[in-house]
Amino acid sequence: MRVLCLALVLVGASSAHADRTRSERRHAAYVELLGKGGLWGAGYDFAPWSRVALGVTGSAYVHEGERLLSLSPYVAVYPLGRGSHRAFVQLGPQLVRLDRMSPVPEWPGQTTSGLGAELCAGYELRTRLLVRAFAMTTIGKQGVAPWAGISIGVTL
Amino acid sequence: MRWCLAVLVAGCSADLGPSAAWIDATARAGAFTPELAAAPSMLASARQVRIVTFNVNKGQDVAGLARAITTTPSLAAADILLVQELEAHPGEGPSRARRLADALGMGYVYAPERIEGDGTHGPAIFSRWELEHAEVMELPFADLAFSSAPRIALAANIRIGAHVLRVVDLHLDTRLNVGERILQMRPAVLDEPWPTIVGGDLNTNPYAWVGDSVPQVPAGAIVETDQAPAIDDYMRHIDYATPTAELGPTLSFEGLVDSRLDAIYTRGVLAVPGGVERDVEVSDHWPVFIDAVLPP
Repeated sequence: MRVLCLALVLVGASSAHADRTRSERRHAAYVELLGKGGLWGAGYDFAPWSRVALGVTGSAYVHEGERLLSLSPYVAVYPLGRGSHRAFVQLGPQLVRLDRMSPVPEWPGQTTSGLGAELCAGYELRTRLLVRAFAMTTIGKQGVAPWAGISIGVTL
Repeated sequence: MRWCLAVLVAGCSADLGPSAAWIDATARAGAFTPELAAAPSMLASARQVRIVTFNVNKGQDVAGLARAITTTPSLAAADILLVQELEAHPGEGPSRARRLADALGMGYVYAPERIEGDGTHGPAIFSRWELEHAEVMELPFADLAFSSAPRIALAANIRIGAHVLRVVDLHLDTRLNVGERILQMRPAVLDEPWPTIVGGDLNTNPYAWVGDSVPQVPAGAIVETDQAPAIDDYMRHIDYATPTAELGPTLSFEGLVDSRLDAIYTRGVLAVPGGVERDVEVSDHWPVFIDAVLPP
């Protein structure tokens, strides 16, 4: 129930500011669930033009003896849609580092890092509130991996 | 609800329980009483021993399983067979392990790991030589977000001429990370007497996991998240050879994700890499074999 109330407040606030044009809201800060970081991420992007944006998403966490860091700069284009509702495509490199920490003295653990590429495509609602839902694929020397994510944030 | 929390809360983890010591398998009672039987005729001695590990996915079709083994030359030559996920149910007459042993002409020990329906589920070791001193170890329990189950290691000594070969059969949890996997298997492999063969379904899947529920798929395309090479590396650090490291996947999930879940490690013998029999289709896993050459 609290989540529903919060969602209604956010949508209401968003609607109240929908009169501002998209071009006035060039900055966006957001958090991702799943997405480029795998589990979560935080990002920022800036739209110098109406249909083009530049951004970066980063993620870091330590869990169950594994530390995963990722950084994903990207270029976003908005080929479809008008006003607050648009389809977007993001493309960029991704840098990943994985540390497997050893829980035992007889093994030193492992660290690997690599550079790949990411392609995301999805829907964006951009008012005062930013909401994105997307499918994505990551391409690297280990193969190709499909994934998905959602982003929620604010625009400035 | 617990699963949802595991997905959403990065702080969740697969808490591992304490490790236990090896106990005599015959000390287990009730439904967990092991089955043991000697081979009808035993080989005298050998320098080279064929070892196979095979997760048989319950082994319901014992005749089909036996046929797959006896008609595949590399498997038919097995001297020691490490099996995981075998079951025994009272309505079936002799246990599946018993019937498989009879069909293969081998001795065996089957150790129930958990209750499954009206029967039991667990690992088994089959051998053309006498199995001595069968032991069971309760592995550290992984309290996963879902599908938690007790895991055991089964070990036996196999006397081959002047040598006593220690054999350990493992079946580990699925959604563990490498550190947890090491902690779960470590009590059963670290201090084993030489020469030793360790084999089984180590469930070394290709992912790093969060909350033992969310595989980190995107990272896996860019960096090596496959757990099998990491476990191989751990085993090398404790003086095991890794003859199955280059043999490729032992399971293909729906033809989409290939995984090297099964492995054999050796210590104190010369290990000769064998292969993975991917034409054998009686289980979701493929059997893996190697040869071990004993010291003169």
